[in-house]
Amino acid sequence: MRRELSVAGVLVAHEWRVQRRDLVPQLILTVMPLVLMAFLLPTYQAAMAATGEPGTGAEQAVAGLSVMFSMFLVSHVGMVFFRDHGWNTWNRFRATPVPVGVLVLSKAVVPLGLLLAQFTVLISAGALFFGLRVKGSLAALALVVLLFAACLVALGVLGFAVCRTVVQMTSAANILAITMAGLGGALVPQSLLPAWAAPVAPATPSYWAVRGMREVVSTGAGVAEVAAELAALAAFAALFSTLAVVLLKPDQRKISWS
Amino acid sequence: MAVLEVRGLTVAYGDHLALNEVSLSVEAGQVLGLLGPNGAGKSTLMGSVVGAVRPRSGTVRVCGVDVASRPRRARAHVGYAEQDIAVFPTLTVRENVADWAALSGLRSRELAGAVARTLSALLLDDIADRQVRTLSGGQRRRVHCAMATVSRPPLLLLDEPTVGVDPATRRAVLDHVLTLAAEGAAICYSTHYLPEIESLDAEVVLLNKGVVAARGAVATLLRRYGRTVVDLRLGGDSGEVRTVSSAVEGPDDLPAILQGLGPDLARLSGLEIRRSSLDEVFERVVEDEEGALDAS
Repeated sequence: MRRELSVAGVLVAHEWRVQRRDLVPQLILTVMPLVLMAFLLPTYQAAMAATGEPGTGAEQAVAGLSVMFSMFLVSHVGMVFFRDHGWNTWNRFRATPVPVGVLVLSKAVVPLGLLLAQFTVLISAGALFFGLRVKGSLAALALVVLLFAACLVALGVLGFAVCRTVVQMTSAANILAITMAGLGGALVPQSLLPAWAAPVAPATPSYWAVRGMREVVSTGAGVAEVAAELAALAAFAALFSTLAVVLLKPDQRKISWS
Repeated sequence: MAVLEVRGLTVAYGDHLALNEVSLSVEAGQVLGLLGPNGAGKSTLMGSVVGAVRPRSGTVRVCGVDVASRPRRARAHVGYAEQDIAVFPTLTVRENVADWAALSGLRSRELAGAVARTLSALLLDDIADRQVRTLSGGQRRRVHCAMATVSRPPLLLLDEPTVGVDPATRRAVLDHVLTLAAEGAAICYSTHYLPEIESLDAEVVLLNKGVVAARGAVATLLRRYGRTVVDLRLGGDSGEVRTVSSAVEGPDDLPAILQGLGPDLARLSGLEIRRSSLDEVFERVVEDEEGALDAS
């Protein structure tokens, strides 16, 4: 176990060294929602007022847009693994004694950290520039974000497991991100979703993430009040992880960019 | 105990037998040269040693550990540089090599020493802090090789480590291999450059169509399969010289060969009698083997 932890530490440090050389995608996915927040704040304020919800609009803008843009990082998680196929380094890793579970988990730690950083920046910027007030428990908010980020990382690994080519993976991830964001109430408040979407929305992790964040921010919820949202997000993370473990064939040749 | 022991290894891709009942062993301090035409099974053999290729039958043991039943434990004894270059282009040369040293368990001063020694041996010192993406193909090949050798594992699998490198760096790679062997590493070295095998004074296993076609020390193979060759140099009208080579059984064949030149005999400007080179032995064994396989 100690040996595995030591190897995991080396792999996380290595992965960070690789990723920090190109943080432009993360930067874009962090700046873009801030720009959209500025544009959409009045619209969200009007939408919330129309449905009788109190607030400045920042509650929906920050929760919805941070959830939506975090979902675009799913393809980035899959890319972490496809990249190793493009560089032939996946085979190189596989020729070492490192267990595949340790390899995958260690490599996934860095995108998890980047997702958490993205949420932190967006929520902080929301508070600083758009008047967001977190009425509830910060711990509850952190737990919602952490579990949702875990869902997304697991989904990214699942994408790597089931797709044979990098193009398949990025296309599927982007379509999934927009669909889940729409259904989950990240684009418009959940109360404004069409009637047919209401029963479908809970089948997406984004629904529980937006709902959990809104509960904490707007109604002052604590951990106990968002227990259902946390449980749902944990269940999604467990489901995606299990599917990834079952479907991942470590020695399957993937087609990356070369 | 052999560091690498392969017994009756058979690997099939569908109906195609990539390796058929291959057996070989490599001792500590020994360099085994794996020769063979493209598709002979050299890379498949190396892949089997790290458990990347699943055999249909046979066993592979590394330092006594069975690869099929304990692949991870076996891999801990192996440094593998496969044929395709596998490096991290956005990292520097030093980071690539150091990360691989760390992954094999080296830490702090031991790691720094191993990295410095390997970079120096493969003439990578001057470019150690450059990102690999900025390097030439030959330089990348050396980084690839350095990653496999930095932790000084008991068994090294080097699959065509000098493809695309210039003569000076080829010499550096060969010297590095000889140093590692002198330190006690068992080395499996695949190449198409037969003079490299002679410089490494390696034991040779010649694979052809998945079977061992010949094996032995270079001198033994030259003795067993080599022939006496007569090189006849013929001058042309415009001063050019061409060489005609003929295999002979002995000096008695010489008059017939000279007679066979016919009117060209007048152009004979020189004659040399020598033993076959390893290249010629290689071609002959492959031709004989294919003839035998076709006949069967």
